[in-house]
This record gives sequence, C-alpha cells and structure tokens, in this order.
Amino acid sequence: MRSISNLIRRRLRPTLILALAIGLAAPAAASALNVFAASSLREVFTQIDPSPTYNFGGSNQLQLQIERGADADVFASASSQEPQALFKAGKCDRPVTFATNKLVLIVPKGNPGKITSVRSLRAGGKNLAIGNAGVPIGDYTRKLLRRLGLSRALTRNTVSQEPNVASIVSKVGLGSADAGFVYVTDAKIANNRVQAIRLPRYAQPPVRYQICHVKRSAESAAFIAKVRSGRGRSLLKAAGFGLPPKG
Amino acid sequence: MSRSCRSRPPPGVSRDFYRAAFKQRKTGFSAAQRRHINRVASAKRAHIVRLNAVLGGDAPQAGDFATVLPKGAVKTKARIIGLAEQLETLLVRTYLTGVGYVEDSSTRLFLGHLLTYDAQQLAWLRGASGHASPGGLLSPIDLDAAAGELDSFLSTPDFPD
Repeated sequence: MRSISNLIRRRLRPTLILALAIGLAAPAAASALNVFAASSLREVFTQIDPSPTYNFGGSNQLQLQIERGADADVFASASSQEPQALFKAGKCDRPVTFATNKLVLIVPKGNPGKITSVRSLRAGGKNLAIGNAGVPIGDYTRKLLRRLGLSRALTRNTVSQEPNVASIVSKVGLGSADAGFVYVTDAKIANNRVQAIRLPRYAQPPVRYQICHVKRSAESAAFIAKVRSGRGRSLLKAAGFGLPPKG
Repeated sequence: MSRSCRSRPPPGVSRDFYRAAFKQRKTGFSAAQRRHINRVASAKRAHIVRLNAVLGGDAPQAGDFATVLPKGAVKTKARIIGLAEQLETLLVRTYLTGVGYVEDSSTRLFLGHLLTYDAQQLAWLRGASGHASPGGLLSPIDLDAAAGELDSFLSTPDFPD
C-alpha cells in the first residue's frame, strides 16, 4: 500500500511542480477587453479598473481607428462629437455622458513667460502649445479663444499643435512652451511641473465625456457600469472631473 | 407657437436678473416701473440673441451655465436697484472697453449700441433710486476684472469648480 502511495507521490509530484511552475511562469493573459479612451482619462481609468487593455490617445484618432476596424470594445471620448459620429455610423451603441471637465491655461512652474492671464497672450511673442484642430482639446481651445475675442493669440504667438493633451502638458512642463491650454484634470496631475491659470466661466465650452460600447459584451457592460458606479464617480470627482446628474 | 415648443433662452445674467425682479411681487415698484423692468428684460434677451449671432457657433448655449443671484437680490426695491446698478455699471464699463479696443468697426458699432442702451438704463436706475448721477466719467474695465465679477453670478453645476 505504502509503495503504491509512494509511486503516486513520486509520479505526481514532478507533474504538480511542473504545472505550478508553468502557471507561475506564464505571462498573465492579456485582458479580453480593449478600451479606447481619451488621453485625459489615463490616470483615472487605470484607477477605476486596471485590468482592460487600454489604448489612450486623441479622441479623433481613436474614432478613426475604430472606423477602420480596430479591435475596440469600449470607446470613451473627451467630447460627444466622436462617439456620436460612430453611433450615427452604426459603429457603437448610444453614447452616454459620464464626466465633464473644463479648460485652464497652464504655464511652467516659475512662469518664465510671465503670463498672468489669458489676455497676456494678446501681446504675442510667446510659445504656445495647443491641441490640433479636430482633437477635442484643440477644438475647445479655439472655441474658448473665439468667445474671449482672442483668436489672434494663435497668430501673434508661436503655436505648436499637439495630437493630444498629454503632449501639451509635456511641452509646458518641460518649458518648451510658455503656456498651453489643457483640462483642469491634467493640470492637477502635473501640478509639480505646471501652474494653472483659471479661465472665465462664461467663455468655457462645455466639455462632456461620453462613453459607448463598440462591441457589446458582459465585460464591456461591466466596465461601463464601473465607470458610472458610485466608486467610479468618486474617483472621477477626486481627479477633478465634474459629474453629470445620475441616470 | 406654443410655449412648450419655444427653444430655451440663451444664458444671460442681466436678463435673468430683470426677469426675476419683474416676477417678484410687492417690491415697492410702481406699476409703470414694473412695466419698464419687464421691457428691459425683453430688451436684454434681444441683446443676447444679437451678441450670440455675432459669436455664431461659438456662442454659449442654454445649459452651458446658470445665473446665480445673491440671496434676496430681488426681495425689495432697494436691493433690486442696488444689484441692477452694479450689473449695469459692469456692462457699461465692459462695452466701453470694447468700443475702445475692438478693431472691427461693425462690432465696435454694435457694442456702442449696447453701451448706449445700458447707459440709459443706468440713468433710469439712478432716477428711480433718487441717487444723483455721478460727476465723473465711468472708466473702461480690465476684462479680467470684468470676467471675475461676472463669474460671481454664474454657476456650472455639472462641471468642475
């Protein structure tokens, strides 16, 4: 009897150890859920749910990728324009607003360009970083400047146009630009490198983030539910986002 | 057009204030003065529509922000006149800045029209309150200061503070 049990142990132990070793050595399987999200959501989305495979970028670029057949399950955009266009084209479900934001002007710590207000840009001669036209942050910035009657700031200053909000923060944070327009949430994340200058409320374009299923599944529904849950809303609020009424 | 079919009015602090002042009963204004306040509210709405036409697609939309009036702002005649004078003075000084600095002549003329209207309203308010007209001239206002003052009357409840 003992010899049989020894035999089983001897045969099973190496197998068991091998199986455990394979289990430990195997890389964690990539998440089945692909979330395409605006750059400004990077910090908060990874806090809300670290498990999906994320693709962060400019919302318009992500829209283009989805239109061309990229393997996205969920799309979260920094404006309603991109998901609504996908919805109209039958490429995503009806989008819902899950967060809001507002714009600020950021300058590098120490403010070497001595910019005290958005109207300082009227004088010209500064290096300014803004989003490309077509990227939500770029469109919002242009709208805000038009409402302030300051569109000429874009011709009187040296303007570098960036593909997403993260690039604007980097440029200003590194001092390559004297100022840039970003979301208040990005300014908050980079507050060790940049200072934020508030912009008038009446000129703020309404920044609404929308989310939609590109491919509806239990996982995509669970992810969107997490973003819209009480915990998701708390994390969004802590990150500086505004919240639409529950519903 | 039925009331329910009308589009929501564009946002405007002075229009909202005069509308609230008109709706408030027993403030001490005469019937003629109340009719005047109602006319001013309508005129302010027309001004906003024209201002928004100048801004085109970039104009603020209904729901972009809400007007927040100080507590009890329309409770009495004295409070209404006090806040109205504050708002009209702000508007006159802001339009004066525009008239002085806007490069486009048609926009400058339009701002001049608004300036004329609001200066008349300011004079009416001073007459209604029995205040003497000031001896000096109003000065243009720095637009950052004007924006700060205007922001104190605005709220964006769904957006970050």
